[in-house]
Amino acid sequence: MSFLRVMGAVLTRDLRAEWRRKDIFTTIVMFGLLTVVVFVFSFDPASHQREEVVPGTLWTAFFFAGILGLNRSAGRDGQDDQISGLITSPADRGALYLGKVASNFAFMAIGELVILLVAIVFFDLDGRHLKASFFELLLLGTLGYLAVGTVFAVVGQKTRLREVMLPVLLLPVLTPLLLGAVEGTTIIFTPGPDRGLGSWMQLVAVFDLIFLIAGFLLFGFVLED
Amino acid sequence: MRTTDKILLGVGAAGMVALMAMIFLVIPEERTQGFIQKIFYVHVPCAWVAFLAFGVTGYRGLRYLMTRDLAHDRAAAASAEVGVVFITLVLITGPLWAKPVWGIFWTWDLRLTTSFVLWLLYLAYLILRRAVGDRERRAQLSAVVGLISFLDVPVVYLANRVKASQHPAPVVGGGEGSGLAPIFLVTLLLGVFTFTTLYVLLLRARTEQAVLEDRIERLWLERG
Repeated sequence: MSFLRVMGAVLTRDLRAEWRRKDIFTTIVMFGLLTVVVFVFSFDPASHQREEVVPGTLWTAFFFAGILGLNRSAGRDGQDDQISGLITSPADRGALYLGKVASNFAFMAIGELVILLVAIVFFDLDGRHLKASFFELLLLGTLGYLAVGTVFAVVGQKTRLREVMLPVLLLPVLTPLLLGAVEGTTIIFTPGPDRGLGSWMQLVAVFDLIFLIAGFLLFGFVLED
Repeated sequence: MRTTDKILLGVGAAGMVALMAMIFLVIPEERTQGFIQKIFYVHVPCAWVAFLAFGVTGYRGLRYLMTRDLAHDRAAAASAEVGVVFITLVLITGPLWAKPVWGIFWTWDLRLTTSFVLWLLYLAYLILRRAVGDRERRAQLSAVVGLISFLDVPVVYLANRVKASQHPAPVVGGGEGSGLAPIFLVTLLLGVFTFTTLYVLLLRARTEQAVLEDRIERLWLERG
């Protein structure tokens, strides 16, 4: 099978499974919303500048909800020994990786949009905040998150600690991405010209590039051991 | 104990005594910071060893993936353990210096944040190793995680560089106006040399112990 067809097969397989169970989507949305609620009660948004609280709240919600989604997604592959099926196939490991990144991206993106809709209501966001540059940053940030997360979720499933392992491994690696995403979003949300946004965008893009290549090359080692 | 280890131990011990003598008896106190500045000659060598150790972990992990030779995995694990000890020392000696000089123990500055994230990364690496029972699987998974963590270090540095820095600029080779008087430079180099010797010694000891651990584990499995 060609590279793209393998990718497509993994993607459609995951989407079809999700369409039947809908557990990843509900987990991401529910946990993301709860994170937003926790932040609203912890830092009263009415007494803070919006750009001080909202970027951190949004990205924390995305990151935490994503951990649950990644664990469910990798956990499904672990069930019924589906991983054995994947590694006995002659498919290119890189294609399996990119297929998994693509399906995880679909779950994350839908979850993020729902969380964002709620945030629009809670934090009174509008077109001045949700500009094209925000969605660019959201896209790049989510991609970098999943570039590492897709690999580490499988690693976690293969340990005794299972679901608990993923955040322990993933969050330290993501610190530069989180910094870039939150700082970039703060610049976008702050009224006035987006000065300094470019260097944060570049940082997130560099992160994506490094870890997409690393994941592409290393995913096979994680699947088969 | 092998002859190499004995030599390393002798050199390391002599170096440590000489280093302490230099720090406390020979070099004068720094003009503005006073006595506390002397921690620099321990702090910087520890940081150097920590970075070296994590570099070795990344490299040995890569070698493991290429050769599937468990000797590389043992060295990678041993190096990470020693590295965590030294980065912990960095994180202890740093605030001890910062409190009297900066007035605060901690600030989220470029080098501080990088060191702290490094500590988290390799602590997670060691937790992972303890959470995998099967020997080959442990080697394989930790090699991948070790490599990704290693790649992350320059990105963490880069990210924090975009923010402004408060940590003193590198004293040696830090651009115009940097540089140490000969006596201070000699002490620093002695410190780096001594701590590197200590690192090699600990690495060898821990690796050798890991060989025994693996042998015991194999015997248990064979007994069933």
